[in-house]
Amino acid sequence: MAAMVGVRRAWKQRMAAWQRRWGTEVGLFLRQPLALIGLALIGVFGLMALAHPVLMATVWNRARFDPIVGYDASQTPHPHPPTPQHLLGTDGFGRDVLSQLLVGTRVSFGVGLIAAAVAVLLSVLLGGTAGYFGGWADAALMGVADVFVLMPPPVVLLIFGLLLRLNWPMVALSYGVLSGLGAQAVVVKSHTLVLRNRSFIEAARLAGGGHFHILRKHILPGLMPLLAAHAVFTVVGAVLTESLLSFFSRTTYYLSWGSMIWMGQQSFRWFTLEGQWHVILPPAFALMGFCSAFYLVGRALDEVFNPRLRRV
Amino acid sequence: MRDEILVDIQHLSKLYPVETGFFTRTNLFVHAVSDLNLQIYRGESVGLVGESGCGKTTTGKLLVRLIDPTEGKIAFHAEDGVVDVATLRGKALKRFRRNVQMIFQDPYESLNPRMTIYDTVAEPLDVQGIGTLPEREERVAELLETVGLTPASSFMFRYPHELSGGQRQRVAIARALVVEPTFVVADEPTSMLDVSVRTGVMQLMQELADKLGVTYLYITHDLAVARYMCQRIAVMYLGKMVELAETEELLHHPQHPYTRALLSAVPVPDPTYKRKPMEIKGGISKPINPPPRCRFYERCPIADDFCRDNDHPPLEDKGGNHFVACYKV
Repeated sequence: MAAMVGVRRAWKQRMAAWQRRWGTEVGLFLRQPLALIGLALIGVFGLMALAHPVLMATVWNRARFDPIVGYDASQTPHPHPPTPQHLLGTDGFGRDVLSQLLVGTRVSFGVGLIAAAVAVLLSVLLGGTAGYFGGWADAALMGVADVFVLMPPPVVLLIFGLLLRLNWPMVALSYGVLSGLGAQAVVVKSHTLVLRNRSFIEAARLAGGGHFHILRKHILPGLMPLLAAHAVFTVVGAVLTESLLSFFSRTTYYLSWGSMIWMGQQSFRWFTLEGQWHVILPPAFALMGFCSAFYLVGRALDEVFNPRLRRV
Repeated sequence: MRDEILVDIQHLSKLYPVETGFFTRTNLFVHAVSDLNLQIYRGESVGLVGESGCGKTTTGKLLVRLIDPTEGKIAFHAEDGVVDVATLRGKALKRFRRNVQMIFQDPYESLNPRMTIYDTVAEPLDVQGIGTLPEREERVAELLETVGLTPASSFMFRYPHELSGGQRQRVAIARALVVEPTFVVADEPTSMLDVSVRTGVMQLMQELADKLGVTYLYITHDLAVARYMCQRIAVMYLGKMVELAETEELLHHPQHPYTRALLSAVPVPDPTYKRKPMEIKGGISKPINPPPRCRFYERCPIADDFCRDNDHPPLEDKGGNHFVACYKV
C-alpha cells in the first residue's frame, strides 16, 4: 500500500515538475520573436555597460577619453566627425561620444533597475497590505495611493527639478516611489484581493497557516507575474523620465543619454540637417533601443502570464 | 456509537452587516445563520440540505472556524477535552485545525495552481510541523493511493492543471485527511464534478468514513446525494433549521411544508409522471432583518395568523428523533 518514494527519486520528480511548469512558461516566452529581440538588445546594452570601465582601464587614454572632462587636442575643430580614433567622433567640448554613450548605458541601467526595485517593493507593501487585510488598512492605504495616482512621475520630477538639481539615484528613487505608491499599488491591491478570496487560501488557513504563511506561500507567488511586468515597464518609464530631466538640464552634472541629446541638438539642426549628426543620433537611438528592449520583454511577459492574451 | 456527541452546536448565529456607506453605521443585518442548534455524533454523517443562500455554507465555515460566529457556542469534543470552537485562539486554534478539516465545493479554486500536488497535500503537515521530509513524502504517497490516485509517484509532482476535475477533488480530499481529522465538513464536494465521476468520489468518501472513522457534515442541495451519504438530514431555510430526522424517516414522512415542497421537486425518472402542483409560492425571501415571525410565512401553504404574529417556531421533537419547526404540524 505505502508507495515508497525514495528521497532522491522524489527530488528528481520535483525538478521534472518544476521544469515542466517553467518549461512551458519559458517556452511561451521564447517562442515570441519580439521577446528574443528584446532580450538580445538588453544583452547588447549590458555588454556596453560592462565595456566602459574595461576600455578605460586598457585602451583608452583617460585624459582624452574621459566622458566628462576628456579633451582631444589632436583633432580640431570640435565637434569632430567620426575617425578611427574616435569611432563616433567628439562633441562640442571635444569629448569622445562613444565613451559617453557607454557611460550613459550604465546610468540608464542604474536608474531603471533601482526605480523598478523600489516601485515593486512599495507597491507590494502598500497594495498587498491593503488587499490582504482590507478594512481600515485598505481605506487608509488606498487613500495614500489615490493621492499618488494623481501625480504623474515625469511631471512631478520636472517640478522637483526646477527647485533643485537631482542626481540620478534621486531620480530613480523618486520615480520608484511615485509609480510604486500610485497606479501600481492599486493594481497589486486588486490582484491580491482576487487571490485572497480563492478557496485555496481558506484551505491554507484550515491547515493552520497564519498570515505570514499565506502571504509567503500563496499571495506573493501569485503576484510574481504581475510584479515582473510592472518592473519591466517601470524601467522604461524611469529611463525616459531621467532622459527628459537631463535633457532639460534639471539634473546634476553627470552624463546620461538625455544630456548627450541636449549637447547634440546644439550642433545639429533637424530641419535643415546642418551640423554634426553623430553627436545626437547615437544617444537618441540608444534611448529608443533601450526602452523598446524592455517594452518588448514586458509585452512578451504579458503574453505568457495573461491568460486572456495567451494563444495556444 | 450514536450516543457519543462530537460537535454540539448551541444557539449559533452569524449576522453580516449590510454595507450602507463608509461613515454610516448600519443596523441592517443579513441573518445568514440564526439560532442554530444541532448535535453531531461521533462516526455519523449528517446532511445539511437547503436551497442556495439558506446559510448551509456559512454554517460549515462556522464549524471549522473559517469565520467567527456572532453568537453561540460550538462545543467540539476532541480527544484531549472539550473546546469551544467559537472562542479558540492562537496555539489552541492551530491544534484544533488538526481535528477538523473541510472539503471545498470547487476543486478548480481550492488547489493553488502554482503548487504541486505534493506541496498542496503536505501543506497541513508543513504548517503543523509534522514529520520530516521523507516521512511526509511517504505519508502523502500513501494517502494519494488511498484516495485512488495510483500510482502516487506519477501524481505527486504534477500541477493541478494537469489533472481532471475528479482527480483534483480527490487531491482536495487527501489534503483534508492528511492530518487525520475526526470531523470533516464537506461543502458540496460533488456538485462541480461531472456526473460520471460523482459516484466515485461519493463512494470514496464513504469508504474513508468507514476506514478512518471520520464524521462528516455533508452540505448539499441534492437530496439524492444526502440520502446516499448521510444517516441524518437537517433541512435549512433562510438561516433556520426547519426539520431534522433520520434520512429515511425524513424522505418518507416529511412534516415541514418546506421539506415537503423540496421533496416534491425531486425529479422522477418517469416521463409520464404527472407532478403535483408546487405547494409553495414565490421565491426565497430576503434574510435582511427578517420580521419576527415564521421565516417561511410568505411562502407557506398552511400558515395562518398565528404564524404571522408569533416568532419563528422552535424545533420540536415529534417522536423518534424527528424534529420539526412548525406550529401547524
